[in-house]
Amino acid sequence: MKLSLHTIFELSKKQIIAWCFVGLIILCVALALELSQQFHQDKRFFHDQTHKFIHQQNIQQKQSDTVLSALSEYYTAQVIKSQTDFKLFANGLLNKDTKQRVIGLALITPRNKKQLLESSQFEKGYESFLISNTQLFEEQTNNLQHAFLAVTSITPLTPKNSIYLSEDLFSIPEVVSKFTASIKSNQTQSIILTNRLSEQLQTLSFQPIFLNSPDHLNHAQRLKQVRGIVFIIEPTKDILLHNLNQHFSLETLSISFKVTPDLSLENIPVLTNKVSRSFLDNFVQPKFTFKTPLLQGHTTKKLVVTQPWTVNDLNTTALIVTGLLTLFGYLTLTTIIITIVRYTQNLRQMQNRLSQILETSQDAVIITDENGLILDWNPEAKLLFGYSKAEALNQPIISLIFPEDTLSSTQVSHDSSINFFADSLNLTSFNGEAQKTEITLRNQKGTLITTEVATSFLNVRNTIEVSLFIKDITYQRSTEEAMTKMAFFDPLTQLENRTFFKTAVEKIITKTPDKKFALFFMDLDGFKQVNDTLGHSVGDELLKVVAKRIQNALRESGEGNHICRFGGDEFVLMLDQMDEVKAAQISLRLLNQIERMIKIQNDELQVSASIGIALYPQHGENVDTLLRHADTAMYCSKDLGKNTYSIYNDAMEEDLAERILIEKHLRNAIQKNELTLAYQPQINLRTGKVIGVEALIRWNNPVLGFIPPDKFIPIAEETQLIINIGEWIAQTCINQLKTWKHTPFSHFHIAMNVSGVQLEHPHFLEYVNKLMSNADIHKHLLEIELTERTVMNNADDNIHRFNQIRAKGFGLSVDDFGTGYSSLSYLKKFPLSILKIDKSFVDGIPQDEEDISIATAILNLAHSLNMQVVAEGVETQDQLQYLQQLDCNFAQGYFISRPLFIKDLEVWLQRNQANFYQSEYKQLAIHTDA
Amino acid sequence: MLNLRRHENANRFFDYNILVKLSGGVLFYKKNLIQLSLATILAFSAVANASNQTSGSTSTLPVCAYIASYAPGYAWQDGITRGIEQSLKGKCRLKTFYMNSKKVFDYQKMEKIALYAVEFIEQNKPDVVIVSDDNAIKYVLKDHYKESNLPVVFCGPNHTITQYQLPYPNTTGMIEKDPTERLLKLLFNLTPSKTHVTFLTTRGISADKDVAEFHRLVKKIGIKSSAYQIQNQEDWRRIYKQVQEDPTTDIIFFSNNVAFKEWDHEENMKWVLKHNHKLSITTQGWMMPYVALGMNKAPDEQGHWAGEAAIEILNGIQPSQLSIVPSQKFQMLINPKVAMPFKQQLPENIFSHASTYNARGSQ
Repeated sequence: MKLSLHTIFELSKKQIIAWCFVGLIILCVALALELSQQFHQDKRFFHDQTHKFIHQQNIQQKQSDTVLSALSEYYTAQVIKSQTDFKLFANGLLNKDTKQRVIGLALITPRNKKQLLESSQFEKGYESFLISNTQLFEEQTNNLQHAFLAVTSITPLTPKNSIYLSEDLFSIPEVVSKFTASIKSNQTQSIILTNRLSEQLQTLSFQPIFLNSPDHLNHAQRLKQVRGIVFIIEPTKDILLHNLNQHFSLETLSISFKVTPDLSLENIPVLTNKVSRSFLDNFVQPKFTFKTPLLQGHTTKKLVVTQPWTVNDLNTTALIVTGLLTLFGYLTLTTIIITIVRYTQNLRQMQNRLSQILETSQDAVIITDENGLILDWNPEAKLLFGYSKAEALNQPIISLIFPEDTLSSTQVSHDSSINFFADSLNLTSFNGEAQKTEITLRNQKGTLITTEVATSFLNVRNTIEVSLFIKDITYQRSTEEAMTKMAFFDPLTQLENRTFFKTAVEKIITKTPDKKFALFFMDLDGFKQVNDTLGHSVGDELLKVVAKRIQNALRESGEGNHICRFGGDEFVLMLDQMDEVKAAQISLRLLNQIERMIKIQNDELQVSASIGIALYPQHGENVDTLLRHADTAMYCSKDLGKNTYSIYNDAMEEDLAERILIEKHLRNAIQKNELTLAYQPQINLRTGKVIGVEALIRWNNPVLGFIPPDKFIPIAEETQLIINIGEWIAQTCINQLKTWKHTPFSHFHIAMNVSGVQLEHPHFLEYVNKLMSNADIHKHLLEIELTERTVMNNADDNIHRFNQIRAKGFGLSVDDFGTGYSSLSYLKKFPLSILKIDKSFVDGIPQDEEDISIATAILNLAHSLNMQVVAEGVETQDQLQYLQQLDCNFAQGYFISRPLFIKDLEVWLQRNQANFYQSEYKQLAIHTDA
Repeated sequence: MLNLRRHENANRFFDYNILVKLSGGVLFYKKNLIQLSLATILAFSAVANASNQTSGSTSTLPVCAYIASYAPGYAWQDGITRGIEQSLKGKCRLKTFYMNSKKVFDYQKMEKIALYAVEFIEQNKPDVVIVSDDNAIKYVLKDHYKESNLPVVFCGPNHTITQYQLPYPNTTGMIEKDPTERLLKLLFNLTPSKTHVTFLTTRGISADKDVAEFHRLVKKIGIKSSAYQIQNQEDWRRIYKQVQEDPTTDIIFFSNNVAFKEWDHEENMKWVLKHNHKLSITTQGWMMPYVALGMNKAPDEQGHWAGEAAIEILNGIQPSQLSIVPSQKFQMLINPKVAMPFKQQLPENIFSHASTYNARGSQ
């Protein structure tokens, strides 16, 4: 994981840049302070060394004074003046530290005694001794005095020092003046001389010598008894450098002698430092300087010492350490600050968050102390309990549990109050973890509120506080009750639902296995049509009415019954203490109740029910078996024509098994060529000509034998096998039409029965259209025949489908018309070409007036809507003739021909020359025509 | 660099010529003592020069020529040479010529030796020349380099240099001044009543100067004195016995015995011890076995002074700016064997201050 400032401190780039910038400034300041400190430290050191140097100079000068005083005293003390002894004494005053020091003795020699002194010196071996001014010093001029001050003795005497011998010091004016002063003060006098030979400055210090101790002489006596001087000559520069070298590194110094301007002298450079300078040094040029008089008490000539302070003098280790310590300190400090800021921000954020949580919490949040006194109170608490925060604070929390009057009347003590508080919220068993308690509280109005209180202890500054998160679950609890009801009761009818019912029956069976009861499985007949035609709202109202009627019918049958809406239009009843007789009675009562006219909104409806009955324990020992058997019995009632009841028997089970077997074989019927089409001719009642045929499917299974269509078509519809079967039928019909093409039967149409399942199939119409196009057959030759029930199912959707069928040119007929519920308004909208009068209405013709009326009505209706009518099931000549009279367009039926396989049909057509009236009924037809 | 090499070649050529002359002297002038002496001198010079060359590794140094009056092996000469070499070591390439003139009394011989010395100087082209003792000063400095441009430092002249008209502008140096005055003053301070000094010395230039200086000194101090210039060893014994037994003599002051052709140390030592009645003193180191007290000059001081003066001259100081000074350092010695009879007369400090003479060391 890549760590960075951004990730560690969550700093933005700008903050990081600012952080680095501030750090850089602090680092620079620290380094500058360190530099300054080093500079001042070095400066202090320089000045300390300067003081030491000056001190040493002073000491040396005092030493010189002392030496000169000693020499002077020694000279005075000598009764017999001996230069040899003086030399020995002077030599004893020299040591290795003063090896550059030259001690001398110069005697005042009056001009008239010059030769005498020279001769004396000559005899001693100083044979070049001639008192003279050799211009040894630049300061020497003409001696205008009455005497010479001749150097007669030098210690140590070396060839180099021998140059001083015989030199007349009175030729130096300053010596003369200082000599005069020294006589007066008997103090050491010093002057700076410039040696011509060495071109170096030399310091000449001297004291006068007297015949007697000057301490006992007045000035006049001193003038008489003064005999010369003892002096010390030292190389000024070398001594200074020697002394400086003891306190400084000479290589770092620049030294010069500065002479005051009034003497018109200039700076005399003595030493130039050898310090290598960097560019920075040349730019800044820091330096330390001190000035001190070359001689104590002399201000005209000064020593100027300068020491540059360069980069090389820097203590880089200290600088680096300072830099590192500064960086470390800065890092540490900023880390601490950032941490504190972040921590504070987090705390503030957390506080804001907590405040907002408290303010906006959907729960009432109450903080109390350990005694239950309210410390905090959020807005939701105000909403929930009706007390403002000001009212609630410092009030006992138990006032929300018990009415105020109760509390005051019961004289609750302080301890009891605490106990109430703890007991109510289960705090006594509190284990430190948050816990939830459901409790009923009161608001300001005294209304009870079901609440869930989440309680937890808070340790705030060593004080225990209790946080209460109170959720109003009044609505939740009521909702839960409703949901529980919904879980076990049908919301529409308020009857028990399947789950509850089965559980209840199972419990009864488990608890009282010897009990006898009956299970009624009731299914409304035609409920689907009601839903489809009148809408689900009507259907729902119908179910509610039926449910009420069931309840009413069973009101007197005693307790212990269970009525369940099992699903859709199915009801299941468990009735206690039932046998077959009682069950039959109840069933009839139920059927009667249900079939009564029902008025919903503006519609009057009449439905029936099919009931199947299974008895416990003979028809099953568990609820599922009983339900299955009751269902089987109900189907039996359906098969029996509906609106009836059936009591289960084992044969019913066998019927079911048969259905399963049929379904099994039906799946392979097409592949095994077990299906065939039979064609029933349709004739024009006016001409007797065959206009076409109705294709009727036949199934002959090797195992099951011949199975009638009304037995396997419903199964095929239920199992969706009808799609494949329908396609096979269409293919076969079109093939037949193709066969008939270019034959005398080429104008025949084939009416092909199509089930509702096929019609709703999205690709069915396209499939048929494609087959017809491929066969190049005129599409009006194929007539799609639908049952009235199919037509009226999803009537709104069918309008579009029918228009498509008609738009493609196919014929569209309605079979079994009059047996179902046909809405005349929809009938008007349907683009039907043919209506087929159901056989049931044809059967009564011409005797039954109702049938005649119905048939007449249908014919009138169809003709008024420009539809043609086919009468089905014409089985007698009377029926045929009457229908002719009623101006029915077409007819089919056994009287004309039963359905024939294609070979038989073709034989029949050949024989009748495609005109029914050309056959055995020829005479009749002629008669009719006539 | 080229010039230096030429100098070295010239030195080798000079050495070769010397050797040729040496061998020529042996073959053809066998009977000629002058030639033999010169050959001996040249042989010494060659050896000294060779040794100087090997020691002078720093060819960039200036050249100093040293003309010594005597030959190596003579204690005084060795002391001066030692002083010169010590002071010039590392500062100057020293080229030494020994005149070996101790036993040469003939003026012409001396002049001839001086000519060799001059040739030696000319060959080496020195920056400064040092001459030691009177013969070199007289026959080389005075005769050939008086007021020349070549700076010359002298050392070792006895008592004074006036007889050579020194100092010249191109000279400076140190005079060998006996500590006689200091020694006598010391003794007279000790025993003011016994101040008659009898001076015993040999014959010759130096001895004459010694006698003259002695007389000047006693005159200056104002004391009684006697002086004897002795011809040989036998005379010395006789005079010695005489003055030891002379009641007017308080102190016997011995000069050197160098001029004596013979000197039987054992016999003379016995003689001294047998007739040791008076306090005997000397300022000559080689006479210390025969005296009780001595205050001796240090020949090394002469050499040191000359060397240091040469250095100052090489540093740019004119010779005339350097003062001519007398000897500065003296050493007091006591010979216990001879001094023992006078122990009671002498203060304790004499014995404590003075160094004890060691005959072996002296020899």
